[in-house]
Amino acid sequence: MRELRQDATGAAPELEELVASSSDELVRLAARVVGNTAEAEDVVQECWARALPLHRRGELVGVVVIKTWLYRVVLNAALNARRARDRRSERELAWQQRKVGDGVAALEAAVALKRVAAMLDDLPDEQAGALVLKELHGMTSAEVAKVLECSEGAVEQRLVRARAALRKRFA
Amino acid sequence: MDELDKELLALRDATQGVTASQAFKSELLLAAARAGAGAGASTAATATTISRKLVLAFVAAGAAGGLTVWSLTREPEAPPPAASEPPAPPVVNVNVVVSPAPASVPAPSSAPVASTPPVAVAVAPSAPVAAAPALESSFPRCRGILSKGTLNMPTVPDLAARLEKLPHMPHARAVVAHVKLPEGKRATDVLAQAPISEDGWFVAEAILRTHPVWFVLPGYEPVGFAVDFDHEGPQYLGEVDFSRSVGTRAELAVHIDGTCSDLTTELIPGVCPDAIHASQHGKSEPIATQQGRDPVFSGLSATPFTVLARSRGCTSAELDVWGKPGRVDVPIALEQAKAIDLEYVIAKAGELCHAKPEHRAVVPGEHFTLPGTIWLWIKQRNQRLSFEKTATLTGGYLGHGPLSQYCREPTPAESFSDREILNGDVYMAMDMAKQHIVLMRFNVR
Repeated sequence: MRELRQDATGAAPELEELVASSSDELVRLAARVVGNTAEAEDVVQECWARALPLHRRGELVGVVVIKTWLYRVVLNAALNARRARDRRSERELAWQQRKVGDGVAALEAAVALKRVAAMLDDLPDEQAGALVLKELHGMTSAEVAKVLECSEGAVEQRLVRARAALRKRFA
Repeated sequence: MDELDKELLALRDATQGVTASQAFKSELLLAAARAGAGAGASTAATATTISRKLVLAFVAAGAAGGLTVWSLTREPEAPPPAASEPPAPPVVNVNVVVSPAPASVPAPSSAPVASTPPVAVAVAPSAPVAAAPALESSFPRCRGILSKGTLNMPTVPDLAARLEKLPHMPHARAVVAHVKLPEGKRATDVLAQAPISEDGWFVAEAILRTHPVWFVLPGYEPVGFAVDFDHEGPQYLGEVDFSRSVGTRAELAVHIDGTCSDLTTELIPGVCPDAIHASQHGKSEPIATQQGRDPVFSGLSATPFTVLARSRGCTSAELDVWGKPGRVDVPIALEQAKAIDLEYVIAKAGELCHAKPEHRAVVPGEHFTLPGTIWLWIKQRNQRLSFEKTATLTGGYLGHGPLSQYCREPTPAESFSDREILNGDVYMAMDMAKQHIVLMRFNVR
């Protein structure tokens, strides 16, 4: 995770820079949690809707590592979306699944995202979040701990439990 | 590395290519540019439906300081029309507040930004700003495909209304319009967002449970808009709107994947006469379309346009217009389905083609058993009809068309547990224990 810090004066990076540098990563993270890109874009959009007014009011100044903050907000929003998913119709989800884009790679990604969603289906949020950040998003335990605001030990514990649950389910 | 690690690694690699769509990133950048434009910008309007939530967030943020909708301006041209109090609308008010952006707000395209002072076209009193956040959770997820009957609209049977032109407002590039309903009128999602193209054309959309819709634009006569019910019938398949210009010349391919007959596609240029350049437009005559052969429209001018697909007796299709895919289902509204006839043949394996088709009137909500043990449940959900068969029965969806074509040769069936009924679709159910096979076709009239 490339950290985007405030400069020495405490000024937050320009919004456009933040958006340009973060959107893909954030959508990817959200997609790995919710299982499709269309819904992931909605999640990221909601997060920006929260972040932009804060930025405008200068309230992001207190956030030292903005990307970590964004990851946290997106992850939580994605987990919320995952919980709310059952309330939506299967048809809508099926339509979203097709919205990944064109081409074989996109199709493979869509299939993979579906597998991810199925894999995470029954995991508790804290375990799902840790698993996605560490195993699928490639963060280090220290980075995951920052995003989840917990200790590295807690991260490792969540990962062990998540793996155990997955092994049990797919055994 | 165990199997789980390998699986996780494979999933990580396979999803590495997932990125935000270009349109989405553009919208975010545009919204960010506007949000960061300065403390004076209390509300920003974004260009497409994808950023509605952002728009609403900004509307909410701007509520405390009074509603001001910033829009980006083009070259200063003719002065805007004088603001005047609109006549009292009989049904619905649309309060449109437009003012141009300050010079510091970057334009979304390379169009020069006007340095003229803000031009307040009109400020309608008491715009229902406070209601905006409540809309956020319930507004349909149109995602750029504006179509009555699109499945991703949860308000499918509701009436959609649009105001498709805003004459004599060449300065504005974006408008947020609030629709105010009279007391006692039921409305779910009411928001008219109006991206204005470079030609000054815009679409305001409101999803209402009441009609007709009256749009009141300051300084103009109220415009009543009743839903065109011709578009609600089975011949209406769907449409894809392009509210942005597509360049001076382009070719457009429309791909329709569905079981349709008598299919035509039609390209309709933007409708605002003041906005359309005098150059050539897309053809506006319906073009007969064959399955698997894409109609191509050429010679498009830089105007917004709509692609309209129609098909007799067709209720579902995939549309893919220039990378804007969408599935369009025409809902079989119960009030429109005056009669639902279940045509079926039932026989033992190998004898289907000799069996005479039977007919049975079907009523939504009905459970019934066809001869043998073929149990069906006709369900009504969200104004759509679906049916469920006994779980132990195998079989599924076969396709579309007459039953006879499925008698002759075995066809792989797509299994289902709860299948939406579309007019003319053929299903199969088998009771392996008693070796009954039934072919069913629902005819909705």
